Amino acid sequence: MTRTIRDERADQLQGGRAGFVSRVAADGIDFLVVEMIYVTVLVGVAVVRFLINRRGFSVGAPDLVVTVAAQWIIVVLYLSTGWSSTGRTIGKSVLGLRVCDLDGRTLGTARAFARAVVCATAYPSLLWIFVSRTNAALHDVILRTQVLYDWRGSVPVLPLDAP
Amino acid sequence: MLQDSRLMPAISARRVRVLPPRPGPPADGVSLAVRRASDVGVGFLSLSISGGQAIFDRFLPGAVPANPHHESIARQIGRAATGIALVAESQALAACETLERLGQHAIGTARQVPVVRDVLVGIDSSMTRWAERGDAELERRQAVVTDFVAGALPALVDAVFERVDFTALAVRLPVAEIVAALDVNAILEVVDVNTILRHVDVDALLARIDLGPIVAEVLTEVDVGGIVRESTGSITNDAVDGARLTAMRLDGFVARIADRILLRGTDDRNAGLDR
Repeated sequence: MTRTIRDERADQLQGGRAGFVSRVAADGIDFLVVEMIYVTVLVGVAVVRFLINRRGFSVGAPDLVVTVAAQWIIVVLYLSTGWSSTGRTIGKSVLGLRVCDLDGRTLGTARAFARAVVCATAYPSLLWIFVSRTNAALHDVILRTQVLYDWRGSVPVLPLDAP
Repeated sequence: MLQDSRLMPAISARRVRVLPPRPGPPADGVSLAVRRASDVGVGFLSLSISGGQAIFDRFLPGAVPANPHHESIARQIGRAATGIALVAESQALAACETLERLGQHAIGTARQVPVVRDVLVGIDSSMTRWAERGDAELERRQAVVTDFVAGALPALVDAVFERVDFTALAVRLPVAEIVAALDVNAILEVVDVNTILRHVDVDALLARIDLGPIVAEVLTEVDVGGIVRESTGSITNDAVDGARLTAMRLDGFVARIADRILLRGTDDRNAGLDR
């Protein structure tokens, strides 16, 4: 069933390239999701340790390096999984955005992973949107990807290298 | 006090009552009642005869006269005799009324005479007692008849309803023609539906209705869950769309600011969108 979009301008912009605010808002939601996953992992580790040692239950507070490394890994896995499957993470799904290649196809696993690594490592590359005439971030330019408005949740076009 | 009451005979209030003066003939005199009964009776009889003639004329076509304006001598004689009888009756009733009026006047005059007045008071007292007794008896018998009718009528109606085949009756009724002939708009213009509804006790009506099975049937027919899901989903979609639209507008706003800062003309970054 086709979803109805009441705002005429929004309806016209479906399929257009998303701008800075929408993408940052989606990334903010994704950041919260990653933090929840991280906390869940910490609690899970604490539960396992409690079940093994049978001593006082306490959630560990890892070092900054460990925290950053763990969250970087979670971010990369989370983003690459979402982009290579439906083209959306939870944040992009809420904001009605979809990540795809320049032909509108869903990213392959390798390209989604590479994009996630770039995003997690150098998030400020997103600022290239202001310079770009096509709302492309630096990692979009490098990896030939784009982020589109897609409120209707259209069926993603599978990548050519998909099984 | 006791001694005085023993010496003096007990005088009831009825015996010392003085009759009020009754000037002129009473409006409920016998003559007037007879005249009314005669009017109604003769009118009813006349209608019956006319109806009977109409029935005969309709169902016995051979009896219809060739020219209704030239009736037979026998009929003319009959009508003339009726006229004479009615006039005679009217004159007789007028005479009766005169006699009644004179009688009333005579009685009124006689009341002025002391001895006659006592006799009349006694007669009137006796008549009053008999009248009261008659009234009481009539009232009792009316109550008996009312009870009898109240009990018998529902049974009679039930018996009629049991014996009448309403299904066959309904089949024979030309319902479609009746409904087609009804001018519903004209009826609605005449009938004040609001006035009728004001007299309807809705609470009592609802109390008589077993709503449980009706509601169950409605719930069976209506997919309430689907409606709730659809409405809830619609509300959620509206809220999400509002947030997305805000972000979308801010995208354009921020892009325009960036273009100005970079000292270049504002350009629609989705201008090439074929929509």
